[in-house]
Amino acid sequence: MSTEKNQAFQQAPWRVQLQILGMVLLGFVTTALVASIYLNVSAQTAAAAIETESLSFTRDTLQRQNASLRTEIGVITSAREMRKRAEELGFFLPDAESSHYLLIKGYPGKQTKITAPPITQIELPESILKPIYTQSLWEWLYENLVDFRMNQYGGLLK
Amino acid sequence: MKWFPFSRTTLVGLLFSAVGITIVGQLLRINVSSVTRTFSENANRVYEYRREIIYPERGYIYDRWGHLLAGNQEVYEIGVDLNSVTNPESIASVLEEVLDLDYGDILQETKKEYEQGVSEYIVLANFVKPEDIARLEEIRDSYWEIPSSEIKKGERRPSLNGLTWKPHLQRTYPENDVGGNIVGFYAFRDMVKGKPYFGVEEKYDDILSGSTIEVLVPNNPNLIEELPTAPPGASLVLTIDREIQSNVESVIDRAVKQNGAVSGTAIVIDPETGEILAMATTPRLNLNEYWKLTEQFDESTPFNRAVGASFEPGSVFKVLTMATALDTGKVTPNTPFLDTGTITIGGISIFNWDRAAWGPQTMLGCMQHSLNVCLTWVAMQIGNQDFYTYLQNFGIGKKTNIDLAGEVTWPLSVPGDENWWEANLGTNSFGQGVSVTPIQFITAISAIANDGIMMSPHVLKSVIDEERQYDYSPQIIGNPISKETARTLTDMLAVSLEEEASNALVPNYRVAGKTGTAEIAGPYGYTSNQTNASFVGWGPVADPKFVVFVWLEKPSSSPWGSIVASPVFSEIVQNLVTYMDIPPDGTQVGISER
Repeated sequence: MSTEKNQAFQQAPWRVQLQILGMVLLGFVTTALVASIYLNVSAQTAAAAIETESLSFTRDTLQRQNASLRTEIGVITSAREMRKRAEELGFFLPDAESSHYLLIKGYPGKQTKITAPPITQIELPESILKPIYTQSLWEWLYENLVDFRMNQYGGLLK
Repeated sequence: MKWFPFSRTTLVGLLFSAVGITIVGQLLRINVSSVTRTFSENANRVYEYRREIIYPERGYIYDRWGHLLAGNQEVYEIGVDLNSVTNPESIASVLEEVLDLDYGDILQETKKEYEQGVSEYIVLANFVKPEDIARLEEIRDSYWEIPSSEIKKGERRPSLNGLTWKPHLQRTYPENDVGGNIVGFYAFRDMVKGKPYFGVEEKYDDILSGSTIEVLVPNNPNLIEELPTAPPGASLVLTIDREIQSNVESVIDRAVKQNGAVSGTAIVIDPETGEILAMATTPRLNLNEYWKLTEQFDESTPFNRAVGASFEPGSVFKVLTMATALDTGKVTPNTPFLDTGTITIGGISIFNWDRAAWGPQTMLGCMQHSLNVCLTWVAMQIGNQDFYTYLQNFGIGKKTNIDLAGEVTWPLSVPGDENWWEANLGTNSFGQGVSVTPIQFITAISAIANDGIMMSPHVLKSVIDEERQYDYSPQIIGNPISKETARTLTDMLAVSLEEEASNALVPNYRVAGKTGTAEIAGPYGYTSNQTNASFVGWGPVADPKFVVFVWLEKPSSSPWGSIVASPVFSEIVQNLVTYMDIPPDGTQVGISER
């Protein structure tokens, strides 16, 4: 009798097979999901890194161009060039007799201090990349897990 | 079918499982094998990272108003990656056309066999200007656009594949040779071992150059973070005024030419601060073509005579003798002296420059007529001890430690030294038997122009580092004479010039000064036909703003400083007062009021 009863409560074989199949598929889907997230994050990291490298090259190029332009201005405004241009425009160096000196109150005279020093490189913080672009998926999960637990348990983990 | 223990489905499942297990097993075996580990390590070493050296931008050099004296310019290195070359003839032809390089040489280089680690990359040209690179890019793009149909059978497509250009910075000097002796140069042609020579480039190389960084840059984009940069070197602001420098150079160049002198040197210094406003020497080098140095300078020619050459100054040195005598109270401007035309000291006879006897004189007359006999007598009145102590206090025989590379000094012989004789006191009093560099001498004289306070001569005004400007503070290096002595002597030398109607006088400005004509010692003693002609002067007398020293070496037009050097001083000062906005003496200064 007991055997018959057991048999009465046993699930149909196709149901058991379906459950097993479902579990296997769930495993596959979960793995695929994790893999796709990992792939996505990796792709974003790589894209950001390549962009960073590209921007670094652009920055270097701009710095070189700035240097060139500054030097070019120096060449164009060199003493000989300026004198030549001034003479072409009809200017000449005045002598003492043709100069008239006026004392102007409050005028300190020509100042030697350079008011606009050359733009030197602005030092940035150690890394401008957000951690999300540099950490691995595992590190990201771990960090968020810790954050989650800290939020859950308040100061217990502190 | 009863002999077979499995169903067909089970059999297929087992087969697939076996295949799967085999694949996984093989993957594990490959991954953990020693060969794989070695391969992985090699791949990581070779391909994962590349080593890059980042050179910081060299700091700039400016004159006191911010005009650029030394900067950097973008140029390119052109090379060929042998593994990527598809058409060597195209590369040779294009480089011949654009850069005027030899077709045969380029073809030979580009046809070399690629050999890993031995022959991979060859530099074909360097310091190529950006406009030439733009032309190369244009040609490269035009080759890509050629339709395949236009390429004849058997012909190769024209291509610059393999040709690469890498940008870098080259030191550039916008003013060419203006102030070249002060600035020095950076030997940029040697990319690896290039270093600075002379001037502030050498003296301040540590702060101009910054620090080179060597980094490992990952090739794997996942590993790339921000690429590091080398902070640029600090920039320097010099005390030099390029307009004054340029003008003084023009004047001294002309003076050397007109007087047939071997060389010329002129220094302008602000006595209140010790700032060098101009320092002109001949010859000068176009710093952008520094490799021509040996063509212009022989081994005995210093790059900057103002700091690197010592000479016997002659009568300009009498200023220091008289300063000592006045300060020790041995004489006053009106102390009488009977000039008989000769005086004996240490067993030798001293004569005047014209071998004449000038009769009754005062100290003012002695300076005005530059009487050797009188100054020898004055030195005897001072005595050995005080005379040499004062000279040492004026810095004679010691380096000034000016912030320029290549400063030399000639030791001052003092009583007790093997090479000092009693006669030295006499000859030294009028600037013979003693050697100074122009910078030493003008530093000493600037003490007289600055109420007895001697300032450290320098060319650095400030340093700009990370957008902050650090100003150099003028430093006092001595106080050899009193304020009263300095003013008395200044007035004596101003009157002296005025009464003499000197060529050094400057219309509308009262200046003080002294000429110098020194015989040059040769292997057979002193020769009268070859001299060092010089003039030192300062002004305006009421409140000196400049000291100017002029030295012409071996002028052939006339040996006398009063004839060849004095007019040079006058011309320099006439321009100087305009550049420095110094109003003429006695000018009614109007006051602009609203």
